Amino acid sequence: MATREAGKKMIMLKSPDGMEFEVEEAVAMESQTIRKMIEDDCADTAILIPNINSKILSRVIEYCNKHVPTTGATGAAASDTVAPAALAEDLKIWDAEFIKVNRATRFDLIQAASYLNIKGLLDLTSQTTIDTISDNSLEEIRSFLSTKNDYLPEEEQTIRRENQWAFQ
Amino acid sequence: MAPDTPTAAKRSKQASCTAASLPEEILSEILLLLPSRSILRFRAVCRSWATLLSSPAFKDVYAVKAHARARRMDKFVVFAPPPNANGSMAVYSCARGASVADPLLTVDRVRVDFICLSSKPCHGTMLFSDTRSGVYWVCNPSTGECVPLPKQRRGLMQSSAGLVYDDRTKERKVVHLFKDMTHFGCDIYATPDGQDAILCFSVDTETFTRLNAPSSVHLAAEYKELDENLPAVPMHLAELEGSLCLVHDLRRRGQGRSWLDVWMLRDHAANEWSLRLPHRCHT
Repeated sequence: MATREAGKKMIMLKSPDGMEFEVEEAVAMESQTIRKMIEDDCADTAILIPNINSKILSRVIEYCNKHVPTTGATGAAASDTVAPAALAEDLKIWDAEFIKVNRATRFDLIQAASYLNIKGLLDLTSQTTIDTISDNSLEEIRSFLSTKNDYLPEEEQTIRRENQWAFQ
Repeated sequence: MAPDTPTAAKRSKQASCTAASLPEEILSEILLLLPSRSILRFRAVCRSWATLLSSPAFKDVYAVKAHARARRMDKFVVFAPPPNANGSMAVYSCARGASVADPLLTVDRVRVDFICLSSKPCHGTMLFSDTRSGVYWVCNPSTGECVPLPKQRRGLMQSSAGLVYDDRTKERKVVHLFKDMTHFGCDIYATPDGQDAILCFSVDTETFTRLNAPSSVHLAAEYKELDENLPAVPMHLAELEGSLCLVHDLRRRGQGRSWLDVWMLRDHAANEWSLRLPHRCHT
């Protein structure tokens, strides 16, 4: 592990609640937002990540650590021994475990992935949400997303009739 | 500030229809991933969802994303007779290599062996014709809808149609060319100089342009030889690898030739066709 960290540029990420996370630049650059900051030279010492608390930020870093492409000397050695298909399968299993969180955490992760522009994490969290809700009843949807039904009963009936096929 | 002051009440009313701790722009991104059936169903969740899910902007982005997803899913639609119904046709969705197919919808009064697909699927809908009754149908496999277009007077031998999406008006349009008994509306096949041609119609400008067929293909002659009792259509226009192609069905012709000739339009402006390697198919 020491060889991997030696010579790598490190970046400090700060959450608004005062925690600091030292991560490899390559890991931080999984976020397109941070990548842009680094490329534009706005990130020489530390980057403050607004509106993402330390609990969520640490999960996001965990995700990026796992998903950062392994390159360089150690990376090349690793991909020689492990087939890409097996790696992808391993990542899939890891993702499935990673996303086993409660609804509030998942929503926080979605927002963090959206703000930091991490496509893989956004796809994973969004797709999991869609898989949860697409077959739910309207009542379940409303309670899941804390949404209120503001239709009059006859209006809702009309909408249901117009889209009858979808309710069969 | 007390929660029941007018400002707070107004704000809470506005916020009442957005997800708990999920901003609206993120929510709409997520809803783009929903299957089409759920999109229709969720219009009944609340007013703001109905507005969002029915908006042209949402529909446009959804169509693009759904198209990309469909390509990845590698599924296709199959027309086949349903297991125990006469004179009707069932539409199934099938994954490549799978042995089972999911039934999507059934259309009465249409027989599979007489249908002919017109052009490629467009914005989630397909246009096909029943060559026996001469009726065109527009079918949306993801919503299960299938509607016949108004019946024409003459048989399909004298007609041709295509389905297009007009991005300006957000409408699907069926362009139907036909030859009337008394009036020659549009004659696709016999042009004044005797060369066979394909008529192109631009939905944008509503104008016609002409494209010559490959010189060795004689469309008019093919159609004259057609037996009224045979449903087969010897010529099909299709899209292949992004260009227009003309498929010449030779299965009813003599021995020793390929069964399908596929002509690709290599250059639209120069009107250049080339013959792809002969296709052998086994039916």
